[in-house]
Amino acid sequence: MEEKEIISHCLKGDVESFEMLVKKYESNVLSLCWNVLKNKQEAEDVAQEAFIQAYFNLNRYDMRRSFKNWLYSIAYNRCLDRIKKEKSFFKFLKNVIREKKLSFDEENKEKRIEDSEMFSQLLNELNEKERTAVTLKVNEGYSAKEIAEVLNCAESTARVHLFNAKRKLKKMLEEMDV
Amino acid sequence: MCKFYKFLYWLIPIKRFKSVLIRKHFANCSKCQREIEIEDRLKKILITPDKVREEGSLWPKIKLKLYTPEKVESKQGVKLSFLTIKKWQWVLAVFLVLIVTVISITYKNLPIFQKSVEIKKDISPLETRVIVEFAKVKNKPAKVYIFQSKNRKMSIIWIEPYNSTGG
Repeated sequence: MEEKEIISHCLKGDVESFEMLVKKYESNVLSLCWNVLKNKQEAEDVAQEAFIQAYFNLNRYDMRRSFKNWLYSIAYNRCLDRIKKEKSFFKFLKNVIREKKLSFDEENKEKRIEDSEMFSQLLNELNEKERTAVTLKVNEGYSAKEIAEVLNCAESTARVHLFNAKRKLKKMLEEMDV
Repeated sequence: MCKFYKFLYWLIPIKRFKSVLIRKHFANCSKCQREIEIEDRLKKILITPDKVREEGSLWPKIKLKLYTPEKVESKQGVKLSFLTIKKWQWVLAVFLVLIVTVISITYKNLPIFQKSVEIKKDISPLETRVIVEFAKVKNKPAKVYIFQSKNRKMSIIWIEPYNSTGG
Protein backbone atom coordinates (compact mmCIF):
# COMPACT_ATOMS: atom_id res chain seq x y z
CA MET A 1 0.00 0.00 0.00
CA GLU A 2 1.29 3.46 -0.85
CA GLU A 3 1.92 6.03 1.84
CA LYS A 4 -0.84 8.39 0.73
CA GLU A 5 -3.25 5.50 0.58
CA ILE A 6 -2.34 4.52 4.14
CA ILE A 7 -2.86 8.10 5.29
CA SER A 8 -6.31 8.27 3.70
CA HIS A 9 -7.19 4.99 5.46
CA CYS A 10 -6.05 6.48 8.77
CA LEU A 11 -8.13 9.58 8.10
CA LYS A 12 -11.16 7.33 7.81
CA GLY A 13 -10.41 6.07 11.33
CA ASP A 14 -8.50 2.89 10.51
CA VAL A 15 -6.01 2.73 13.38
CA GLU A 16 -4.45 -0.53 12.17
CA SER A 17 -3.20 1.12 8.96
CA PHE A 18 -1.26 3.55 11.06
CA GLU A 19 0.87 0.61 12.23
CA MET A 20 2.49 0.51 8.79
CA LEU A 21 3.54 4.14 9.10
CA VAL A 22 4.82 3.61 12.64
CA LYS A 23 6.83 0.54 11.63
CA LYS A 24 8.27 2.36 8.63
CA TYR A 25 9.44 5.45 10.49
CA GLU A 26 9.84 4.48 14.16
CA SER A 27 13.58 3.87 14.03
CA ASN A 28 14.19 7.16 12.23
CA VAL A 29 12.05 9.16 14.63
CA LEU A 30 13.46 7.40 17.68
CA SER A 31 17.05 7.95 16.60
CA LEU A 32 16.37 11.65 16.02
CA CYS A 33 14.75 12.00 19.47
CA TRP A 34 17.56 10.03 21.09
CA ASN A 35 20.22 12.25 19.55
CA VAL A 36 18.38 15.43 20.50
CA LEU A 37 17.41 14.41 24.04
CA LYS A 38 20.51 12.28 24.75
CA ASN A 39 18.38 9.86 26.75
CA LYS A 40 16.86 6.61 25.52
CA GLN A 41 13.87 6.47 27.85
CA GLU A 42 12.81 10.02 27.12
CA ALA A 43 13.41 9.54 23.42
CA GLU A 44 10.99 6.60 23.44
CA ASP A 45 8.35 8.61 25.27
CA VAL A 46 8.69 11.56 22.93
CA ALA A 47 8.70 9.37 19.81
CA GLN A 48 5.45 7.78 20.98
CA GLU A 49 3.92 11.19 21.67
CA ALA A 50 5.01 12.37 18.24
CA PHE A 51 3.31 9.45 16.49
CA ILE A 52 0.12 9.94 18.51
CA GLN A 53 0.09 13.66 17.74
CA ALA A 54 0.68 12.89 14.07
CA TYR A 55 -2.24 10.47 14.04
CA PHE A 56 -4.66 12.95 15.59
CA ASN A 57 -3.49 15.75 13.32
CA LEU A 58 -3.35 13.82 10.06
CA ASN A 59 -6.13 16.01 8.69
CA ARG A 60 -3.72 18.96 8.88
CA TYR A 61 -1.01 17.16 6.92
CA ASP A 62 -0.40 18.65 3.48
CA MET A 63 -0.14 15.72 1.06
CA ARG A 64 2.24 17.65 -1.18
CA ARG A 65 4.84 17.70 1.57
CA SER A 66 6.99 14.76 2.59
CA PHE A 67 5.30 12.78 5.36
CA LYS A 68 8.65 11.86 6.85
CA ASN A 69 9.66 15.54 7.16
CA TRP A 70 6.29 16.40 8.68
CA LEU A 71 6.73 13.62 11.22
CA TYR A 72 10.26 14.74 11.94
CA SER A 73 9.12 18.31 12.56
CA ILE A 74 6.50 17.06 15.04
CA ALA A 75 9.10 14.92 16.81
CA TYR A 76 11.56 17.82 16.88
CA ASN A 77 8.98 20.15 18.43
CA ARG A 78 8.05 17.53 21.02
CA CYS A 79 11.74 17.22 21.90
CA LEU A 80 11.96 20.99 22.38
CA ASP A 81 8.90 20.87 24.65
CA ARG A 82 10.51 18.09 26.67
CA ILE A 83 13.80 19.97 26.97
CA LYS A 84 11.98 23.06 28.25
CA LYS A 85 10.26 20.96 30.90
CA GLU A 86 13.40 19.11 31.86
CA LYS A 87 15.43 22.20 32.50
CA SER A 88 14.75 22.20 36.21
CA PHE A 89 17.67 21.02 38.25
CA PHE A 90 15.96 18.19 40.12
CA LYS A 91 14.72 16.54 36.98
CA PHE A 92 18.17 16.74 35.53
CA LEU A 93 19.56 15.05 38.63
CA LYS A 94 16.93 12.32 38.41
CA ASN A 95 17.89 11.65 34.80
CA VAL A 96 21.54 11.35 35.60
CA ILE A 97 20.80 8.74 38.26
CA ARG A 98 18.43 6.84 35.96
CA GLU A 99 20.91 6.94 33.07
CA LYS A 100 23.68 5.54 35.25
CA LYS A 101 21.43 2.75 36.47
CA LEU A 102 20.39 1.83 32.94
CA SER A 103 23.89 1.79 31.57
CA PHE A 104 25.04 -0.52 34.37
CA ASP A 105 22.16 -2.87 33.80
CA GLU A 106 23.08 -3.45 30.18
CA GLU A 107 25.48 -6.03 28.89
CA ASN A 108 28.96 -5.10 27.67
CA LYS A 109 29.20 -2.51 30.41
CA GLU A 110 32.54 -0.94 29.61
CA LYS A 111 32.05 -0.53 25.92
CA ARG A 112 28.62 1.00 26.33
CA ILE A 113 29.78 3.46 28.97
CA GLU A 114 32.65 4.53 26.76
CA ASP A 115 30.33 4.99 23.81
CA SER A 116 27.69 6.87 25.77
CA GLU A 117 30.32 9.13 27.33
CA MET A 118 31.71 10.10 23.97
CA PHE A 119 28.19 10.43 22.60
CA SER A 120 27.03 12.75 25.36
CA GLN A 121 30.32 14.66 25.41
CA LEU A 122 29.98 15.38 21.73
CA LEU A 123 26.30 16.23 21.82
CA ASN A 124 26.66 18.44 24.88
CA GLU A 125 28.68 20.81 22.74
CA LEU A 126 25.72 21.34 20.41
CA ASN A 127 22.37 23.00 20.97
CA GLU A 128 19.07 21.31 20.05
CA LYS A 129 18.93 22.79 16.57
CA GLU A 130 22.49 21.80 15.79
CA ARG A 131 21.90 18.29 17.14
CA THR A 132 18.83 17.91 14.94
CA ALA A 133 20.59 19.31 11.89
CA VAL A 134 23.60 17.05 12.23
CA THR A 135 21.44 13.98 12.92
CA LEU A 136 19.37 14.59 9.82
CA LYS A 137 22.51 15.18 7.78
CA VAL A 138 24.39 12.12 9.01
CA ASN A 139 21.49 9.68 9.34
CA GLU A 140 19.36 10.73 6.42
CA GLY A 141 21.74 12.63 4.18
CA TYR A 142 19.33 15.57 4.24
CA SER A 143 20.10 18.78 2.39
CA ALA A 144 19.92 22.20 4.07
CA LYS A 145 16.53 22.73 2.43
CA GLU A 146 15.10 19.56 3.95
CA ILE A 147 16.62 20.33 7.34
CA ALA A 148 15.06 23.79 7.16
CA GLU A 149 11.67 22.19 6.52
CA VAL A 150 11.99 20.11 9.69
CA LEU A 151 13.37 22.92 11.83
CA ASN A 152 10.83 25.34 10.37
CA CYS A 153 13.45 27.96 9.54
CA ALA A 154 15.10 29.51 6.48
CA GLU A 155 17.43 27.38 4.40
CA SER A 156 20.32 29.72 5.15
CA THR A 157 19.66 29.36 8.89
CA ALA A 158 19.70 25.58 8.59
CA ARG A 159 23.00 25.83 6.75
CA VAL A 160 24.40 27.91 9.61
CA HIS A 161 23.25 25.33 12.20
CA LEU A 162 24.84 22.57 10.18
CA PHE A 163 28.06 24.48 9.70
CA ASN A 164 28.35 25.32 13.40
CA ALA A 165 27.60 21.73 14.40
CA LYS A 166 30.20 20.32 12.04
CA ARG A 167 32.80 22.86 13.12
CA LYS A 168 32.27 22.04 16.80
CA LEU A 169 32.24 18.28 16.22
CA LYS A 170 35.35 18.40 14.07
CA LYS A 171 37.17 20.27 16.82
CA MET A 172 35.96 17.83 19.47
CA LEU A 173 36.89 14.76 17.45
CA GLU A 174 40.34 16.14 16.77
CA GLU A 175 40.81 16.87 20.47
CA MET A 176 39.63 13.38 21.40
CA ASP A 177 41.72 11.95 18.58
CA VAL A 178 39.08 9.37 17.66
CA MET B 1 32.63 18.03 -1.76
CA CYS B 2 34.51 21.04 -3.17
CA LYS B 3 32.28 23.55 -4.90
CA PHE B 4 34.03 23.37 -8.27
CA TYR B 5 33.67 19.58 -8.44
CA LYS B 6 30.09 19.83 -7.27
CA PHE B 7 29.44 22.10 -10.24
CA LEU B 8 31.28 19.74 -12.59
CA TYR B 9 29.26 16.83 -11.23
CA TRP B 10 26.06 18.74 -11.92
CA LEU B 11 27.31 19.63 -15.42
CA ILE B 12 28.25 16.12 -16.59
CA PRO B 13 25.22 14.28 -17.94
CA ILE B 14 26.54 10.69 -18.01
CA LYS B 15 26.54 8.67 -14.79
CA ARG B 16 29.69 6.73 -15.59
CA PHE B 17 31.68 9.95 -16.01
CA LYS B 18 30.18 11.33 -12.86
CA SER B 19 31.39 8.38 -10.79
CA VAL B 20 34.89 8.60 -12.33
CA LEU B 21 35.00 12.27 -11.45
CA ILE B 22 34.01 11.62 -7.84
CA ARG B 23 36.42 8.71 -7.39
CA LYS B 24 39.37 10.67 -8.82
CA HIS B 25 38.55 13.77 -6.82
CA PHE B 26 38.14 11.97 -3.53
CA ALA B 27 41.37 10.03 -4.08
CA ASN B 28 43.34 13.28 -4.36
CA CYS B 29 41.51 15.85 -2.21
CA SER B 30 42.51 15.64 1.45
CA LYS B 31 39.78 18.10 2.49
CA CYS B 32 37.01 15.92 1.08
CA GLN B 33 38.62 12.79 2.51
CA ARG B 34 38.55 14.36 5.96
CA GLU B 35 34.91 15.36 5.50
CA ILE B 36 33.97 11.77 4.73
CA GLU B 37 36.09 10.47 7.56
CA ILE B 38 34.38 12.77 10.05
CA GLU B 39 30.92 11.81 8.80
CA ASP B 40 31.86 8.15 9.18
CA ARG B 41 33.06 8.77 12.72
CA LEU B 42 29.89 10.63 13.53
CA LYS B 43 27.83 7.77 12.16
CA LYS B 44 29.60 5.48 14.60
CA ILE B 45 29.02 7.82 17.54
CA LEU B 46 25.53 9.15 16.84
CA ILE B 47 22.42 7.04 17.30
CA THR B 48 21.45 5.82 13.85
CA PRO B 49 18.18 4.14 12.79
CA ASP B 50 20.08 0.85 12.37
CA LYS B 51 21.21 0.89 16.00
CA VAL B 52 17.67 1.68 17.14
CA ARG B 53 16.04 -1.08 15.12
CA GLU B 54 17.14 -3.68 17.66
CA GLU B 55 15.28 -1.90 20.44
CA GLY B 56 11.83 -3.25 19.65
CA SER B 57 8.74 -1.64 18.21
CA LEU B 58 6.92 1.35 19.66
CA TRP B 59 3.64 0.22 18.09
CA PRO B 60 2.12 -1.74 21.04
CA LYS B 61 2.34 1.32 23.33
CA ILE B 62 1.14 3.69 20.62
CA LYS B 63 -1.75 1.38 19.79
CA LEU B 64 -2.81 1.31 23.41
CA LYS B 65 -2.93 5.08 23.51
CA LEU B 66 -4.70 5.37 20.18
CA TYR B 67 -7.52 3.17 21.42
CA THR B 68 -8.13 5.49 24.37
CA PRO B 69 -8.32 8.68 22.35
CA GLU B 70 -10.47 10.73 24.73
CA LYS B 71 -7.74 11.00 27.32
CA VAL B 72 -5.09 11.82 24.79
CA GLU B 73 -7.23 14.38 23.00
CA SER B 74 -8.29 16.12 26.17
CA LYS B 75 -4.67 16.26 27.33
CA GLN B 76 -3.62 17.73 24.00
CA GLY B 77 -6.46 20.22 24.17
CA VAL B 78 -5.31 21.51 27.52
CA LYS B 79 -1.75 21.76 26.31
CA LEU B 80 -2.70 23.57 23.11
CA SER B 81 -4.98 26.07 24.81
CA PHE B 82 -2.18 26.87 27.25
CA LEU B 83 0.42 27.09 24.50
CA THR B 84 -1.60 29.52 22.39
CA ILE B 85 -0.48 32.30 24.73
CA LYS B 86 3.22 32.60 24.17
CA LYS B 87 5.78 33.58 26.75
CA TRP B 88 6.43 37.02 25.26
CA GLN B 89 2.69 37.73 25.25
CA TRP B 90 2.53 36.96 28.97
CA VAL B 91 5.49 39.23 29.60
CA LEU B 92 3.95 42.04 27.53
CA ALA B 93 0.60 41.72 29.34
CA VAL B 94 2.23 41.85 32.77
CA PHE B 95 4.38 44.80 31.69
CA LEU B 96 1.31 46.75 30.46
CA VAL B 97 -0.60 46.06 33.67
CA LEU B 98 2.39 47.29 35.67
CA ILE B 99 2.65 50.48 33.60
CA VAL B 100 -1.05 51.24 34.05
CA THR B 101 -0.80 50.61 37.79
CA VAL B 102 2.26 52.83 38.17
CA ILE B 103 0.67 55.65 36.14
CA SER B 104 -2.57 55.48 38.09
CA ILE B 105 -0.70 55.62 41.39
CA THR B 106 1.71 58.38 40.35
CA TYR B 107 -0.75 60.67 38.59
CA LYS B 108 -3.74 60.42 40.84
CA ASN B 109 -4.55 64.08 40.19
CA LEU B 110 -4.82 63.75 36.43
CA PRO B 111 -8.19 65.05 35.16
CA ILE B 112 -8.97 61.63 33.70
CA PHE B 113 -9.08 60.15 37.18
CA GLN B 114 -10.95 63.11 38.66
CA LYS B 115 -13.69 63.51 36.13
CA SER B 116 -16.21 61.60 38.14
CA VAL B 117 -15.42 63.63 41.25
CA GLU B 118 -15.86 66.90 39.37
CA ILE B 119 -19.21 65.90 38.05
CA LYS B 120 -20.28 65.13 41.55
CA LYS B 121 -19.17 68.61 42.59
CA ASP B 122 -21.23 70.14 39.79
CA ILE B 123 -24.23 68.26 40.91
CA SER B 124 -23.77 69.12 44.57
CA PRO B 125 -26.99 71.03 45.39
CA LEU B 126 -25.43 73.32 47.99
CA GLU B 127 -22.78 74.86 45.75
CA THR B 128 -24.88 75.46 42.67
CA ARG B 129 -28.17 76.41 44.21
CA VAL B 130 -29.37 79.88 43.26
CA ILE B 131 -31.21 81.59 46.07
CA VAL B 132 -33.06 84.84 45.62
CA GLU B 133 -34.02 86.19 49.02
CA PHE B 134 -36.28 88.90 47.70
CA ALA B 135 -37.13 90.70 44.49
CA LYS B 136 -38.88 93.96 43.78
CA VAL B 137 -40.50 95.30 40.63
CA LYS B 138 -41.30 99.02 40.72
CA ASN B 139 -40.70 99.01 44.51
CA LYS B 140 -43.25 96.24 45.04
CA PRO B 141 -42.48 92.62 46.04
CA ALA B 142 -42.42 90.33 43.02
CA LYS B 143 -42.68 86.61 42.23
CA VAL B 144 -39.40 84.80 41.50
CA TYR B 145 -39.06 81.75 39.28
CA ILE B 146 -35.73 79.96 38.96
CA PHE B 147 -35.09 77.51 36.15
CA GLN B 148 -31.95 75.41 36.12
CA SER B 149 -30.56 73.06 33.47
CA LYS B 150 -30.02 69.43 34.47
CA ASN B 151 -26.26 69.80 34.92
CA ARG B 152 -26.97 73.09 36.75
CA LYS B 153 -24.55 74.99 34.56
CA MET B 154 -27.20 77.43 33.39
CA SER B 155 -29.76 79.22 35.54
CA ILE B 156 -32.64 81.42 34.34
CA ILE B 157 -34.23 83.78 36.86
CA TRP B 158 -37.69 85.07 36.01
CA ILE B 159 -39.23 87.89 38.07
CA GLU B 160 -42.74 89.26 37.64
CA PRO B 161 -45.05 91.45 39.71
CA TYR B 162 -47.81 89.74 41.68
CA ASN B 163 -50.62 91.31 39.71
CA SER B 164 -49.21 90.56 36.22
CA THR B 165 -50.83 87.94 34.06
CA GLY B 166 -47.89 87.14 31.74
CA GLY B 167 -44.02 87.49 31.56
